[in-house]
Amino acid sequence: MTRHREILVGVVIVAGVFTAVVGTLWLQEVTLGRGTREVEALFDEVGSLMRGNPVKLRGVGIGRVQSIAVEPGGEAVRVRMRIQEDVELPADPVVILAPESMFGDWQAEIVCRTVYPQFDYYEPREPEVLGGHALPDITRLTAAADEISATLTVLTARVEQAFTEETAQNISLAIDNIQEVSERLRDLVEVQAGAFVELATEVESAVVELGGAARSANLAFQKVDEILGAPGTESLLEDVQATVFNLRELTQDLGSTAQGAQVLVMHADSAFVRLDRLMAQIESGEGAFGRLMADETLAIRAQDALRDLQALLEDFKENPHRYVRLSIF
Amino acid sequence: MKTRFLLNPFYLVGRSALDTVAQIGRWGGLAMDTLRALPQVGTWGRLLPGQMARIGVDSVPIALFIAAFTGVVMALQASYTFTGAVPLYFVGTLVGKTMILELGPVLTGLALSGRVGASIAAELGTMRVTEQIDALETMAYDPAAYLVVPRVLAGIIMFPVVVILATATGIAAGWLTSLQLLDMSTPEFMKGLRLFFLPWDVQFAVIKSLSFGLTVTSIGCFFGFTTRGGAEGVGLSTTRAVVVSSMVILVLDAFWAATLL
Amino acid sequence: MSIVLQDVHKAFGSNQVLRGFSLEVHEGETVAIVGQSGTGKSVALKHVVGLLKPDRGEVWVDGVNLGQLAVERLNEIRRHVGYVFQFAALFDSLTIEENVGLGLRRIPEMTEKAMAERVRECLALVELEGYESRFPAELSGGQKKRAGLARAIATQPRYLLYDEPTTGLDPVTTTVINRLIMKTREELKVTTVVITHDMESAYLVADRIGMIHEGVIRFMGTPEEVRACSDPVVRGFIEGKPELLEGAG
Ligand SMILES: Nc1ncnc2c1ncn2[C@@H]1O[C@H](COP(=O)(O)OP(=O)(O)O)[C@@H](O)[C@H]1O
Ligand SMILES: [Mg+2]
Repeated sequence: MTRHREILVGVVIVAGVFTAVVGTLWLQEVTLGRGTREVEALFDEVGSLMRGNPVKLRGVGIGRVQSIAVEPGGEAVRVRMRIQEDVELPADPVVILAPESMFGDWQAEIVCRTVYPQFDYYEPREPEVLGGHALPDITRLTAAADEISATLTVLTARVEQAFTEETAQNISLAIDNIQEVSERLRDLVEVQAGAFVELATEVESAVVELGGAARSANLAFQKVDEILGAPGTESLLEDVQATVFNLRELTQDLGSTAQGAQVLVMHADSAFVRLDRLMAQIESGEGAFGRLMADETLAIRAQDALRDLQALLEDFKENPHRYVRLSIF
Repeated sequence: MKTRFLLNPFYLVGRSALDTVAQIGRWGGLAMDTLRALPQVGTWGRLLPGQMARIGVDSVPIALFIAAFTGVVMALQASYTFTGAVPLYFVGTLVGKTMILELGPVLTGLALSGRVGASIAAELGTMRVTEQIDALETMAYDPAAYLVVPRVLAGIIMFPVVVILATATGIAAGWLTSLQLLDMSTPEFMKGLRLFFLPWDVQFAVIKSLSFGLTVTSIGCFFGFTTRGGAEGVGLSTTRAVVVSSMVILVLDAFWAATLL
Repeated sequence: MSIVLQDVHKAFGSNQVLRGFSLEVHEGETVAIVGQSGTGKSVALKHVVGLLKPDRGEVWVDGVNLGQLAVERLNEIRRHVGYVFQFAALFDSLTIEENVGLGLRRIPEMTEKAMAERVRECLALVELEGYESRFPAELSGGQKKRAGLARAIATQPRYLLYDEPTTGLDPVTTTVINRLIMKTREELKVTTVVITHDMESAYLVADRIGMIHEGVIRFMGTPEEVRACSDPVVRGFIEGKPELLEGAG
């Protein structure tokens, strides 16, 4: 045992301990010399938040989630976050939990309540504890789109059976509603846009287009009177069917992975191209609803169907979360 | 005759089960002797640094070598598996998590069971068959204090150190691979690395490697001590030490995963 | 009466080696044990230092029964016993100097300087000066044996046990070792047990010679008595006639 070997043993041990300690601190992003403090928030539920997820303020990481525990009594969930001491929180701060990306990692973002007034935050009784809200994630959004697509399918099925003047008016009303729904959908998307930017932009532009299409459809249906008796109904209906089929595929794709994003956009594109063509046809006076109007029973059934649809859409406007949840679980 | 032939498998199973239990009992005996020898600091204290150098320092190159290549391969295979579907920064997550939790401790443990366990078994086995251990005893030395304690202590102290260095090397190799071959950026890799990291992971790895150090050295000592016969017996002990300590490492690995994670 | 083995039985598995082995070695006396190889001479000697425990029978050393002795007490006795192993059993990882000094380290009042002095003395005694920093692997068989002897006498023990100290050595070295055995006996009044095959050595160094056969002492007596013994087993052994041993049973 020479002195040289003994020194070597010392060097290796010091290197090992140093690596372990510094590595751990570094991976934890603990910045030595800078203090941290704890912030607590209460939520109705916390989605897929996990210990160790980042805490952000204006998109900047300022700490990590320390612990997540259901309150005694099960009324709420308490989330403890350790953040940098010198970071100043905004006035009237609340915490929004949302996915950071499509892959299950969530984040807690501290924001000012007035920026996102639309959410119902949990209201804690303790003054120093923040209120919070967990956003629905992408699967919920997908489910909403699915719902709309299903409604559109019903709509087309009914359209195939009857298309009266009254029906046309109802349709225009329904499309009004679709427009509103799509705007809500867009809001939902906007809320999450910060995180999964790419996908969200696609969904958002799709929804905007859906809204635009609905508006032009609205205009078109005002001219429905004028186009009664015009030829080409079959091709028109085929177009509607194809459009709905595309919409359906689109919503299915929303549910699959990011790889599907491109396909999804392509589907959306062709859907709207077809919808555009449909509207153009209606506007130009092609197609005829006369034959459909001749059958009274059909007309009545069509009106019933449209009433159903309308009730459905009204309800969706009132309680979007109900549908969202139902279709997930 | 026929029934005896038929009963042979049962005999063999029973025989080997009893042998195994007896071996464990004898190992326990040596463990007790070793514990009893712990207060004899005067005897083993002088020998500990040498064993730490042999068991720890000399094992660093092989451990780092294995870890570095594991890190490279893991980064490449992760990126191959993730093609398109999962963002590349998960390469960092995979390399980091598996290196710290599993591959760092276990691969190092297995490599050192070959390097350290075999050399201890061969050395002590030779000492046994050439009566050097008897000679120690006649000179009023406690063989457990003189031979076993310094080796086992050195294993317990140095294994975690070697594992930590190996793990860090593996992660660094994975990072360099991501940078050079996968076209990832450093922040991307770091993001993945930090994503699910918990300080507990490191403690877990240290606990695991402590137990591996204890396993490899004590099993090496045990088979060395119980060596019978000449050179052939030494060879047999060496092989057994490696095989048994590798198996125990894997069993312990599963045990820790089940109890501590 | 300083070394007593009384009706010692020892078996390894089904191999019954000692079957009632009894031996008494008096203070200051030198006893040689002779016998064919494999008859249990080494096994018997190992009982004296507690390396083996008898299945049956008793072992007394220095007036102490080794039977249920705690390790600490046993080590106390071992400090006064020097054991020369058949194949030297030097520690491979230590130099000759460290090998010889290892026993001295156990003595609390021993200084490094006194230790080095004593090691040099012992190595000089076995004519191994200049080999201090060699490792055992760098020594010949005879040199190893002498180093083992130096190690055994280094602590100035009151008992010396030699297991075949001259087997396989050239005649000159054999004489050196025989003289050494006699010298230590005379100078230090050491109680000695020598295992040997070599009747010449036995006649030379021993006060009494015992012959082991089939696990027991077949005959015990002074060299003159051994020379005069008419037991065919003893005669067969000392004259190297296996047929006599066979016939005796
Ligand atoms: N530790 C042991 N384990 C099993 N058998 C042993 C052991 N030591 C000695 N023996 C057996 O005991 C017998 C006597 O051996 P030993 O005393 O070495 O003979 P020798 O008289 O030549 O010194 C031999 O058959 C040997 O195989
Ligand atoms: Mg022998």
